[in-house]
Amino acid sequence: MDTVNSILFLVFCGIAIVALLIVLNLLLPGKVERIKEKLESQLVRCLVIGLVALGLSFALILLLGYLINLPILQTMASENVSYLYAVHGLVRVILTLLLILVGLGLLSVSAIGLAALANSLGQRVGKANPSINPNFAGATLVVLSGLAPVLGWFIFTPVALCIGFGSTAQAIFQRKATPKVAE
Amino acid sequence: MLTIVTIFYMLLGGITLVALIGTVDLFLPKPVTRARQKLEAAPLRSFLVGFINMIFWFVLLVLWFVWTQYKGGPDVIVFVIGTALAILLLIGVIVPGVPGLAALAQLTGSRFNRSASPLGQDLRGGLLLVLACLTPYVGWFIFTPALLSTAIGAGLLTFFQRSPKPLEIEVGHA
Repeated sequence: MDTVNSILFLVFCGIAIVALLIVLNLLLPGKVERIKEKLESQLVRCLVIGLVALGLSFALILLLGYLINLPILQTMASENVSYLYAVHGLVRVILTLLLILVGLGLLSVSAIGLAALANSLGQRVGKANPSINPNFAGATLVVLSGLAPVLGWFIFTPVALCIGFGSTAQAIFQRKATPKVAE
Repeated sequence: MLTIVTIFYMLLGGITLVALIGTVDLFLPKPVTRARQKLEAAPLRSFLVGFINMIFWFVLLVLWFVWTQYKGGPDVIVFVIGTALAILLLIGVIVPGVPGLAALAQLTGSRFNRSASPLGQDLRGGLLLVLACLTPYVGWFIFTPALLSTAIGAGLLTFFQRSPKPLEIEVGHA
């Protein structure tokens, strides 16, 4: 029964993620288009930037997680001093909020990047077969590839997340090109 | 078994919400169309208006809840009046939000499939939005609040923003 539950949950999550990628494509077309341009023109750069940024973010998450469970804080709080209890509680709450914020930020930035990846794939599928909805085809392809055993879980999903994160970061933080003045 | 039942409940809730969106669009086409125009013209503004309203409502509700718990709470009459006001405030936020949500579903559906019928577009858009909101973590904590804020903002702008008066052309006397 547990296996059935897990499979059902996985299928349901897959359908929900497909829907999220399609909706992001439909509701933020301008942003997704810009990210897609970055993704298609500088794939390796996006991957490297995403890898570094995701690595640093995971390091930050681990650090926050470590700080939340820091033995010094717990030892301080175990003393019968009321203000130490209060400080300990406050610090833990702030750190936990920060941890949640960083985690959700990572996920949402990666999700927009994945939507751009799905768009790119979908348009390529759509060129070959115009009767298929490109957004649906791209999102389904990305999610099903990510769910493929072993190769999908450990290779495709991390790479796709890195590319998505990197391309979104590039699109967000890129400087606008200054127009050249004709001499 | 619990997972299956939970997923079943969530699907049932999603289907009923999609049906509600379709019904609202059929029942109130003008507010939904105006909300959609607001969404297309100024999505960020809609989001900000809805977000600020949601925060305001949430803070008021928390303050009210804290006050009712503090030292046995207020008198019965004050409690009843305050609760009624809180419920009215909640309704005041939800009522404009429903046409806003229908407008968002219509917008999504029309972009997804332009050739479908208006009801088909609503249902498709509603289904996509509901499923997107059910995505773990990103859907629950980022997409759903953003979606609700945008819908409420668009609805509030539709109901409370005055439409600009047409310019009067002065005819010069010769």
